[in-house]
Amino acid sequence: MLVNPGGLIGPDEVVGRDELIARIWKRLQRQSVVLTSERRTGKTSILNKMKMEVASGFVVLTDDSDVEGLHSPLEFVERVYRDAERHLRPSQRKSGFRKAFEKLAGFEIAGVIKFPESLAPAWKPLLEALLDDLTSIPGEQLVFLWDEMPVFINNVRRRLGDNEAAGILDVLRAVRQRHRRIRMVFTGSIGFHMVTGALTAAGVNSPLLNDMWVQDVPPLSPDDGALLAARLLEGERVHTADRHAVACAVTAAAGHVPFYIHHIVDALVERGGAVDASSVGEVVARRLRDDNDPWLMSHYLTRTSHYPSWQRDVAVALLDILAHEDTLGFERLFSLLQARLSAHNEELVRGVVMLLRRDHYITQSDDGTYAFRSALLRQWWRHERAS
Amino acid sequence: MRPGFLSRFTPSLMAPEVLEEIFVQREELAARLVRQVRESVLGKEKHQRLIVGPRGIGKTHLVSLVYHRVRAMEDLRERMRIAWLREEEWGISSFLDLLLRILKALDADDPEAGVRDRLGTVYARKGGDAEAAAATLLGEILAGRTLLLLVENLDEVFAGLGEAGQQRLRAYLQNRRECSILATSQALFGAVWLETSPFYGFFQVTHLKEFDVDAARELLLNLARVTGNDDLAQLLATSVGRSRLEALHHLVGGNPRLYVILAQFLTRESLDDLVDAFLNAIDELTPYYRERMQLLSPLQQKLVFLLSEAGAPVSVKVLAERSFATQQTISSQLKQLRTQRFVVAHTVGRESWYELREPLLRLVLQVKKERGEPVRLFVDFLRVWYSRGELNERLSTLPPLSTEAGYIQQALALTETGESDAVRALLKAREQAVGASDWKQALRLNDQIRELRNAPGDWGMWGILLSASGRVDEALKVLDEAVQRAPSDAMIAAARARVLVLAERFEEARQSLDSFEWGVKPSPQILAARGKAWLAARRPEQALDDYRALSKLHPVDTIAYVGQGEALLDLGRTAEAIEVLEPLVDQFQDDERYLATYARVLIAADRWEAADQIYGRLSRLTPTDHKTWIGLAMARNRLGKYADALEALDHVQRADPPYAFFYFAMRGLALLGLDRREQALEPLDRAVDQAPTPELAAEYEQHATTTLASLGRWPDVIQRLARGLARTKPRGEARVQLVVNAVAALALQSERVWSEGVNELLAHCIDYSDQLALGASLVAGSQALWADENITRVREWLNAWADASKRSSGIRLGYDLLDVAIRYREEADERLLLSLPLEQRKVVTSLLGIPELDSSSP
Repeated sequence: MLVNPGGLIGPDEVVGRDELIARIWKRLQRQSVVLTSERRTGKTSILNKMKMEVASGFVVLTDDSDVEGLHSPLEFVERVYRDAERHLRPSQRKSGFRKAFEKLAGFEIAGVIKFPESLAPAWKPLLEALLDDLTSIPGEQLVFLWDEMPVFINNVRRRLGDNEAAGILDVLRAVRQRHRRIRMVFTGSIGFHMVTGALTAAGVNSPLLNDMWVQDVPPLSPDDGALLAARLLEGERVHTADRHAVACAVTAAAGHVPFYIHHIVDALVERGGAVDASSVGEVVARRLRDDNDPWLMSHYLTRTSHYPSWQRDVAVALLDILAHEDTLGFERLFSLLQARLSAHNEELVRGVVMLLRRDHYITQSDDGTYAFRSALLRQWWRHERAS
Repeated sequence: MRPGFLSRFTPSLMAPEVLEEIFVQREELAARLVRQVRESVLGKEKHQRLIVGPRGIGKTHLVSLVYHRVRAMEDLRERMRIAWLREEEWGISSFLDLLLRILKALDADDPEAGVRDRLGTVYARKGGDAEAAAATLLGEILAGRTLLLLVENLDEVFAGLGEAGQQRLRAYLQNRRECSILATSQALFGAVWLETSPFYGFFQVTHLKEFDVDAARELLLNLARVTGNDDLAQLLATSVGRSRLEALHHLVGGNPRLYVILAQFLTRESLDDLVDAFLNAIDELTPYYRERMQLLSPLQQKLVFLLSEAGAPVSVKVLAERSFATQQTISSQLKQLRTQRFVVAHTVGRESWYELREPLLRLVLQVKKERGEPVRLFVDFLRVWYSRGELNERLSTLPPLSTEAGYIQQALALTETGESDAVRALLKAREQAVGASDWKQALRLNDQIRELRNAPGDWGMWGILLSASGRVDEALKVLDEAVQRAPSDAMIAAARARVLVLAERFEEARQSLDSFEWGVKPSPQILAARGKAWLAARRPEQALDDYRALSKLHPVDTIAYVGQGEALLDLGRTAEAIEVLEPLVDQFQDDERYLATYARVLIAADRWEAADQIYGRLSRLTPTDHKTWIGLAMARNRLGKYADALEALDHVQRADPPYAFFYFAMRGLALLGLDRREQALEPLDRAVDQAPTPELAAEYEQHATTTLASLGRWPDVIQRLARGLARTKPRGEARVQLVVNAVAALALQSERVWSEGVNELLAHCIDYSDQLALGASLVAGSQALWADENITRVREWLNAWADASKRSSGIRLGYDLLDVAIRYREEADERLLLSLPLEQRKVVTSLLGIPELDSSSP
């Protein structure tokens, strides 16, 4: 296995996600799922592995999962049609959807590469008809796996307006409720909360996703992280007397996040020579100081500029405090904040803490204390804010 | 390959062999990229790589190399298709455009695949239909293979695609999982590093680092070899070349393309040539820097101009004031400029100071503004500085001693057998004459042999003997005739090549060796003769191969080992030469040539004790050979056995050039070693007169001047300077060295001599270039004073130059630098150093023996 941060991983090479995937399949027996996490945590790899290794009792109807390239509801319908068509038996090819298509388009669907733009206003009935037809496919559960769904919804929102965008989610929700055999998995690199928040702000009040289970994609377990690191060290032929120790050091430094595990091993390869556990700290420190920002950490700082200014000041101050503490309870955190900034309402500060958790800066332990979500981020933040 | 190719090379047009030959420093990266391509083609993983670096850093070379390597891999051929979108791909404004370019690139790479014919199906459609058709066609063309997509200037392609096109591309890559990208870009761009961008974190990014001096040297040596630029190759092997390369490194900051453009100036002799040509090069480089500047925002451009005007590092606070912006804004812009390698930062306390990373950029911007004067000033200074530095190094090898007799002996070893008694007797007599270097006699005997049998080999020998006696033109005519008579005679071919070298017709010699049909297994005689010819034609690698082959056929033949020793010596691989020669030295202890070669190798390897012993042995075998005694004297000088060195030199009856130089040089050094300085002066002067190269003349000129200075004979130093200035051309290396020596000599005098001494120097150094040399030398001359740790004395030295610095801007620069150095030593304030531009600062830190300032840059 070679280092491949951000690249396309073969399903066989996905490490440490079997348990999570099993939990997702199990959940899909009862309801649809939204997979959420920061970018580059492996959501797409999970989806691909699910497509390749379909659990018993399920039929996956998606070939091209990534929908970020779609910009209109009609394109979405076309994609669903293309992916699902091969699962339809010949008799089903004279189905309700085809009839609807012929009626609206004026010609048969066979041989059509692209749906004519004239069908755009009728995308809703077409989508509904198509999904209705699909329920005739034998199998216990029919699953759609759609990657980058929020991006697609956002594309539609920007191009055609909030109502059209909400309409897609609405139709899909109605289908989920009408047909208990249909399940959907959405993943998104930009947060769903951003999209639904925008729709809510625009006056769309329907609960569009509340019937779906939200599953966070966590970092790997330490053992799985070490396994991934060890495979990469072996594949890249990194010289070391104790590969296991180095692998453990790598995954710990990476916060067990596969993206950073790949990057740290990459840094060890570039460093060259024999490595030991201490080399890991050395290459991490060097990469975090690198002006080129090879691990793309700077977005953690620039992202805060999207917050309203008072929230931003509080957020940055909270992170500055946590950068120098291992963990802190809220009371202590709030009191240290007071020493830095003028008085703020405690509830408002709690709101900012929630924002930071949601945006994956910090995490809350079982004992209620807060800390940076990853040691890597904390180290970077400390260096960046000091320079 | 044309010389012009050196400065204009376009990697994507070059043959793979040439690309490999000139590839430097990045082999591990190239190998890794190839491994990743292999994994992408043979497995389910798909690597996505982005190589980042400014123009000229070597991105296209790297991609071209990877392209050729993977194309040559048999096991990938049927499982891969390659589409290379080169930097001239204009007008990609949608995902459809990109798909069409890819399809056309596939067609260009493999016209047999019939892609062009099928493009009609795409053109027949419109809008979204066309895109779907193109994607479908691509899938059909690939038919399960992996697409290796090489894209140059990915940032421009992505800018054309826009967000919508990028989304479609990413979706295509994720859904089809059949494409691996290897792309380049001049800088990291928002589409790959902004968190909200589709391709955020998608690529594994490598930032290509600039070359250090060693890598630059290797690059230029490779290029010199490929383009047949012997002058450059030879220069780079010398300390002069190294110094000039370091000076160039300061200016170009490690960009390979700039090295190639400016390399031609390394071999310029005249300072006039260098400055004028350098200004021309700046004109040539202006488009390159203009293009880089255009990537910047207006505020960033303003900051670059402000920094170029300042010359020295500037704090964020001052930059903010001068650009009427907040410090926060400026800090943020400077961080981006750091990432794009325009600036470097220095932290002093809590403050950050910024300056331009490349002095060359500053000089380009300055020269446009100020018509060249600062450029001229600094280039002159830098050149002087490094001239003085390089001349402080001692030569570690002698020039090769003549191998003429050895060659002849070797040719004679190929005596034919089966001759009449008369011929055999003549052959034997000829051999003896050759052994005694009695060429006249050998020629007479050869004439008789020719009369008796007139074999082609006798014509060959005739040519060899003529060349040995210095009649090279005649030798060539004879050998040309010999070749006509026996066109496939390898011995004659080898002899002719050798004589072509003696006639300095090097290219013809090489061509004749390259083009001759030597046969699959040349005989030992041919190997020996050809090896010698290769050595003479400066192809030591080929010579080494022949001598190694010869040693396998004739393991007891000294020629094979001597030849290997000489070839390895020419290649600079002295350790290997010792490994070859040392084990057999006792076995061949009576072989003069073996010992002579071994002794030269030992000198090259600085093994003076061993050289002393071997020369000692050799002197017993060849007591009349002046080269042996001179070599022995050299070894003894290096071991500090000066009296013994003189004793060895007393055996030399007569020495012709270039050995006359070595004789006087060794004599002078031995006398200096015995502190007989007055007596040393005369041989040192003779050494200067006889020196075979300007560098050696300058070295011994320096010895002579330093000796005079140590004797307190300052008036003689001035006289020497005046004589030297009268006989040398302004701005030449030799002239500069005269000034440097004189200033160094003044520094050795007592303080009360200094002020008047400076006036005397200034009175003689009327030419501006000489004054520049004075400026550089006053800094260099202070080195001996620094060694005493007596700052007061260094300050007094500086004060002695105060008036002169007011009268001459050429002296002013050196004066200011030394002033900064003194103040830094007194106050230990880094900001003093930061008042100097980068390239001048390096001079001061080197003078003080302190590390350069730690700048926060990758």
